[in-house]
Amino acid sequence: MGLSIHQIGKRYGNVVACADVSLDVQDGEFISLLGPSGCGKTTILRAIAGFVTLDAGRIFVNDLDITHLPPNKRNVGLVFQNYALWPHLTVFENLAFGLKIRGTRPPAIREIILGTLTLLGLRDLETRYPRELSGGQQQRVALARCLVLKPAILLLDEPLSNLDRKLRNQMRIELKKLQRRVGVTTLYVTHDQEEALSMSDRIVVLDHGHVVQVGSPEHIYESPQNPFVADFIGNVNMLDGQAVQRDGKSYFRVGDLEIEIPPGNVAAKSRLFFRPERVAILRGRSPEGFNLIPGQVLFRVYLGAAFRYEIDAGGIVITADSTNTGSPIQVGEKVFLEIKPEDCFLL
Amino acid sequence: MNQTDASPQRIRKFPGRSPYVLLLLPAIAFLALFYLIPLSWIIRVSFYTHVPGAYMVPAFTAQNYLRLVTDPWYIRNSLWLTLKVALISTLASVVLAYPPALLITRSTGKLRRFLLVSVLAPLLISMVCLIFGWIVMFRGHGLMNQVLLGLHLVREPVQWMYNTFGVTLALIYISIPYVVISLLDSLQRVDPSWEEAARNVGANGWQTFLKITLPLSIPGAVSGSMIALTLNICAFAVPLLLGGEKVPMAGLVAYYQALEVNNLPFGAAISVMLLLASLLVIFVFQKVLHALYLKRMEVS
Amino acid sequence: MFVRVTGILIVVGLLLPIGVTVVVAFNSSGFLLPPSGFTLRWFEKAVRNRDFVQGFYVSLAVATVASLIATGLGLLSAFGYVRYSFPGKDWVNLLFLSPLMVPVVVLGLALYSYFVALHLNDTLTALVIGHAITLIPLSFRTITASLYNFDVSMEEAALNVGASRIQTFAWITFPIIKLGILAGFILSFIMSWNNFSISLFLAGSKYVPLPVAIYSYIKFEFDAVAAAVSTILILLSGVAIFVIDRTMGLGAVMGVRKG
Ligand SMILES: Nc1ncnc2c1ncn2[C@@H]1O[C@H](COP(=O)(O)OP(=O)(O)OP(=O)(O)O)[C@@H](O)[C@H]1O
Ligand SMILES: [Mg+2]
Repeated sequence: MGLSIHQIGKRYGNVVACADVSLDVQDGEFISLLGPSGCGKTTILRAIAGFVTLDAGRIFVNDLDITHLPPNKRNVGLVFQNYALWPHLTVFENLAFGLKIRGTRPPAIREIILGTLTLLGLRDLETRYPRELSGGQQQRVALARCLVLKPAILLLDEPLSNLDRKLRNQMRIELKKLQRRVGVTTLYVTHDQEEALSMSDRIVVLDHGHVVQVGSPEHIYESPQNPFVADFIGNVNMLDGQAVQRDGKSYFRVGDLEIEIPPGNVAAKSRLFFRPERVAILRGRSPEGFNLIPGQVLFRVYLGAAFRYEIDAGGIVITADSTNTGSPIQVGEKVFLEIKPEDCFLL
Repeated sequence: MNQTDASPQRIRKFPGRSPYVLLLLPAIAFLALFYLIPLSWIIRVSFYTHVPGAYMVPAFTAQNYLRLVTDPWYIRNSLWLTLKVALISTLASVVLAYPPALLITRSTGKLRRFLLVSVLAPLLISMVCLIFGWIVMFRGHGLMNQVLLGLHLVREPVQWMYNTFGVTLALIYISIPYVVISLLDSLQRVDPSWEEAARNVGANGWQTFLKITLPLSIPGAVSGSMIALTLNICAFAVPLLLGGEKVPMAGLVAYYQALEVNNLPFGAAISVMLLLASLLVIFVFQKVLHALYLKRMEVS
Repeated sequence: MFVRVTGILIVVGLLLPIGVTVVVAFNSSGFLLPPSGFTLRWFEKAVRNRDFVQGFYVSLAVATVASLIATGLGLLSAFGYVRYSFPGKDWVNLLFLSPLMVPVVVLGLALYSYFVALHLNDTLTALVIGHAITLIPLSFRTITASLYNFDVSMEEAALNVGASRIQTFAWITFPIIKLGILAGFILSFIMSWNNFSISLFLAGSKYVPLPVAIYSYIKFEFDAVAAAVSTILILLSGVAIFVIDRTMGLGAVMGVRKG
């Protein structure tokens, strides 16, 4: 087992930074901690690295209890959000520091560092100082500084948040490829859901210091276990009403509307969710489809590759996304919405 | 890596509550031994009695303090003089600190740096050197009188030194850099766009200064006055170097009593009075600053 | 315009006594201005004066030791103060800064009577301790400021790659904040080197620092030799001002915020 966290908890005065958090990470797995600002992501990461004294719980790395080990004895690599590159040392010296401390001999140090720099495409930068590097380069040097030590676990705290959007998207892929190649067990902190969805093997969603759901990106997105996860990951339509059973089928009643939902025991639940991109907008007088709801376009937002519409369906506003095919629907147009029962879920 | 089996208490030290006591202790001990105890000691000594020839005799009497506040000579020639000189020089130094402070605020880059260094330089130059240069300039036939006589502004050399006037001037000179630092702190918080806005609605330079800049700089002026006033009330080096016995400000009298007359208890009593006076000044001015701060919070 | 003219006049006025002293020190006719010619005569005379030569060494020794003590204590306590939170933190801060607020006469007199009682008067030890007390607030303030500017994650990164606390301090923290420490040391040194008031109380007849030696000299003789010695003091101050301004910025060290 790569990393195992048992019921850890930490409070700062009245603030619960994390409570009863448990997690098992397999060797080589890439796991993201995802949650809104202040939900305790950094606290968990810093606890693993040894910079936070826990109030409760234990942490194991490769079945070894490291809960009370000082940070410099843990062999857990942490990439800081601000990179924390040492300004008075060159790239090479930054990477060499940890190896020297371990007593690695200079020829070996050189070999390891050059190998890592080459792997990360930093080969030409070894004599530069951190201030002479771009943001993306600094980020990779910070990563390299951890990787040269072959850490048991790699911890990354929002490593891409200081980069511009384009570079961030590019680094996302590079980082993921690199992690695959090196095979290091990785815990990745982010509040960017796209990042978590695109990179992770599994995602841990946190809220107010508690784990609310753990699962693969598809699982988290397609079947959120509670309203918080549904709302936090992606966009969602959320309608309040009540479920009814009729003729062996289940329906959800919102005002005058009745929407067919998957069959099952849903009596206790009163909230219907479905994703905007699963809502099909049909034009014409009487198109064919499931759960057809008549409506009128209130508002349209241009998103480049797609359009987002707000549609008034008998007093209820529903958001629908549709790809930009070149013939957008006009504001005021009367349309029908199709919502397939299997795309609906109640919570 | 089997050291994890070691007892948790031993390794738990990191990173919890840690060696701040050890880090602070040397300095605190040093200050306690050579600063707090001497200060307490001088307070104690101020209640001793002085017997000529016997240095001082342990006692517990207020006679040193009584002498200070009942002897008309001390009241008129020393305490009153001290207060007068300190107040005048403080007021003057605040007024005179404004132009350089404004000049520094309004300039940028190399010029600003040069002006700032010029104004702060006297703080890093020995008082003796400053006053020596002062004497050279203001002597009977020094530079100042030569210029004034040459321009026919005066008929005979002005007596700049060995009188209250000269000491006051020198105290102003010494105080200006301190006040400039305080003023800069306030002036730099004045957003230039506030002044520009005033100009924009038709105010001239003076009106802008009086209505916008000056009110906003008051906290700086107050804290500058506080520093200058405590310095000047307790002044002893300037009157010693420039006035001699002719300008017996309280600080100087304390020095004379303790080191020349050997009446340490009386010198101690005077310096305790000075300590109390400067604490009072600090207390009052802090109250004023706090009130100003609250008022500003209300406004914004 | 008014501000510019008066401002410049006042700045010139502040520098004038310093300038005049330096001019007199190199002027062949001494106090007679305007200067009539360049000479090093006054310096030669100064160097032949035993009191001044001794005073130079006394000042140098006292300033070196006192500022080393103040910097050492300031470094330790600044670390304790900045890095940890503990009850009574404000009081500790007040204690460390308060020697700046206590009037010099009071401090001088207190130290004088204390050292008399300890039979330590007229010793180098007394001078060093007295100076160190006035320097501690300065070094504490400068080092505290540079520690507040220091990003703690630099240290955490070092611990994270396996360095011990000592290694982290020696190889990461110290190199990064050493300019701040240096500026604090130079400031302390020059303040001690210049100190007149405390020295006057603590100097007897054996160990007389240079500023007090100048004072004793001009009490009886007023000639350009004193200007030459003053110039030596001023020159060292000038070097200190230059170095501090280049490293940390004089304004920052003296408590002026960036404009
Ligand atoms: N040293 C501290 N002292 C007091 N409270 C703290 C401390 N560190 C964190 N907290 C609090 O604990 C909670 C969790 O903080 P944490 O930094 O782990 O959040 P986060 O999920 O990383 O947030 P972000 O996305 O903004 O980085 C927050 O409410 C924070 O205010
Ligand atoms: Mg965080």
